[in-house]
Amino acid sequence: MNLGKLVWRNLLRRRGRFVFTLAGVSVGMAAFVALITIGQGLKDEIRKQAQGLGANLVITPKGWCAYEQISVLTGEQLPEAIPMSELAKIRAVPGVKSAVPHLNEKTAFRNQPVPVIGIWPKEMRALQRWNIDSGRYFNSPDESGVVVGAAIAKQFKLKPGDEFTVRGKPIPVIGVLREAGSKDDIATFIPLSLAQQIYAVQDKVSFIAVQVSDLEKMEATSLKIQEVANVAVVTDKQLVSSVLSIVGSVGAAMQAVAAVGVLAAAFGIVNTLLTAVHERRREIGIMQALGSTRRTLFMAFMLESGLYGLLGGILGVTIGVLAAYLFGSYLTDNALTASLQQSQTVTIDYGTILLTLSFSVCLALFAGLYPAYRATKLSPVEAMRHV
Amino acid sequence: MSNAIIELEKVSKTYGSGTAETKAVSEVSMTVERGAWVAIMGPSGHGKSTLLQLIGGLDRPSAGRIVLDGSELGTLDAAELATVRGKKIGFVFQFFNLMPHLTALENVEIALWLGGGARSNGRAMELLKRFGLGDKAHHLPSMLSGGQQQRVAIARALTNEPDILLMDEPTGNLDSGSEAELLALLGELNKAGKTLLMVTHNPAVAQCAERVLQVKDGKIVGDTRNGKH
Repeated sequence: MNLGKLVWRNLLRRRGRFVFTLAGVSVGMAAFVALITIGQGLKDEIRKQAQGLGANLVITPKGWCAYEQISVLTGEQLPEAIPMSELAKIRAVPGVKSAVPHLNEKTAFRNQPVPVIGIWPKEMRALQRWNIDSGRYFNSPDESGVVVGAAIAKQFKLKPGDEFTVRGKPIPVIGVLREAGSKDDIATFIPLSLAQQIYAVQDKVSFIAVQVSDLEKMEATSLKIQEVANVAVVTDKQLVSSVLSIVGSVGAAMQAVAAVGVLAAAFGIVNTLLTAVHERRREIGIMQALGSTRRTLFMAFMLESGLYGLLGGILGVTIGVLAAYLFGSYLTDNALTASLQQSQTVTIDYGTILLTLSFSVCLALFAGLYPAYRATKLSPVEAMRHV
Repeated sequence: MSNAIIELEKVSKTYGSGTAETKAVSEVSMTVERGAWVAIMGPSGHGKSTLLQLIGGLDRPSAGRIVLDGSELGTLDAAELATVRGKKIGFVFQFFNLMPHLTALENVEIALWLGGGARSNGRAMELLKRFGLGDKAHHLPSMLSGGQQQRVAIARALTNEPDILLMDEPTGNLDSGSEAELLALLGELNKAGKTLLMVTHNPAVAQCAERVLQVKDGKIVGDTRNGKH
């Protein structure tokens, strides 16, 4: 006979109560794991999407006035002022996921001014997540062709195969972009090298759109860029702060719900153990009569409580992980995620599992403190009390 | 050198306070010699059990001194008192007080563990065999008769080889056959040198002891020796 054996026997003597208390702890911990896991998935998702929204930073030449900086966003013609050498430096800054140069020019087409933007076809498409409405996209980075925005195509009734002219040079329309609801609709796009050649601005671009790999480090990345290159950086602070606050509130809401479940589980343990202390007060008296110290009694109840935490934690983690896998995709499935091709948004992290297990045990031990204390306060005289 | 193993000096125990104060034990002084067999008799609620609890260190007196085999209980802290209970005293209760979810063997082993005495679990089995319970070792208390349960309880009380056995109505819940067997067993233990102190209602049971104390209103009002010892 030893402490462990006695505690195990005590734990199992009221099978029903043991099972229900354990179920309470398991459900609480399962909710905790599932919500933390799904919450993490949601956060990752939101972050990914925010990063999919396009450029987070716009690199402009130094010394531009505010109006000129805003005109980047409206698609105005801009002076070509950033040398390509700066672009290479910016791309090398850690935290920069992609940096896509833009050469903003204008051309007259059927006597109407039309924006012509020189781009890197592959990088630009990745950045803007363009879809092609008709025709096709560029096949090579210097293909002689033009891809036109939806509004421009509509205005001039352009379709793939038609001819477009840039500064008098005929270029075939190879594709029309799907309407994006952005300034891309009212622009035409040609490969950067072609644009630089036509407008004779070798080695210069108007601005550079930068996507950072971590939104939370956007400010730092911005400063770093200005350190290594002789440029100005415009950040979209509003976007970042709203995205970060959404991420934060999603996490907080999930944690609050998880906390309720976990708290209920803890009260379940307290309740069960208090009942057990009351039920066994005579036995506790007998144990004291047999020479048990208060310490031993305290340890016995703490161990019993800890076992509830450990077993409940293991069961809970198992159920929670399963639930996260089964239902996680439903929870995160919404209009936002539908626009992205995501396979699995739920990621099970061993850190979370370990954290939950130790949390479960600690919580159970904490819950056991009061009942265990109550047990030590019982008098050994209870052993002789006549029932 | 005095041969006393239990000494009480003006021991009182009061419960409650003010007008609700009740004196369960009132200035009791007495001595029990080593190897004696003493019965405590008296009406219900007159302090017999309280007296036993105080002697056994289950409770502390409100006033007075209790010396058990040379150590004064009042000077011991809770853990030391627990050690005294575990090693020097064996308790036997009216309702046997076995752990219902543990087997007979485990009920004896638990005393071995808690009393911190000999760690060999062979001793528990040895005791059960000695009391004719070898084949019942793995039975739960509910599967044993009252007499068998009480023998398990006595085996448990003897596990750590205490000098003193304190018994609260040990025969109170036994049929007459089991009662006779138990008294015979107690007689053997007494001959082997154990000091026995038992509370009983039954004059016939008290007759088996060598000395009978009468308790009334928390005081010892009679102290007679049975001639046959």
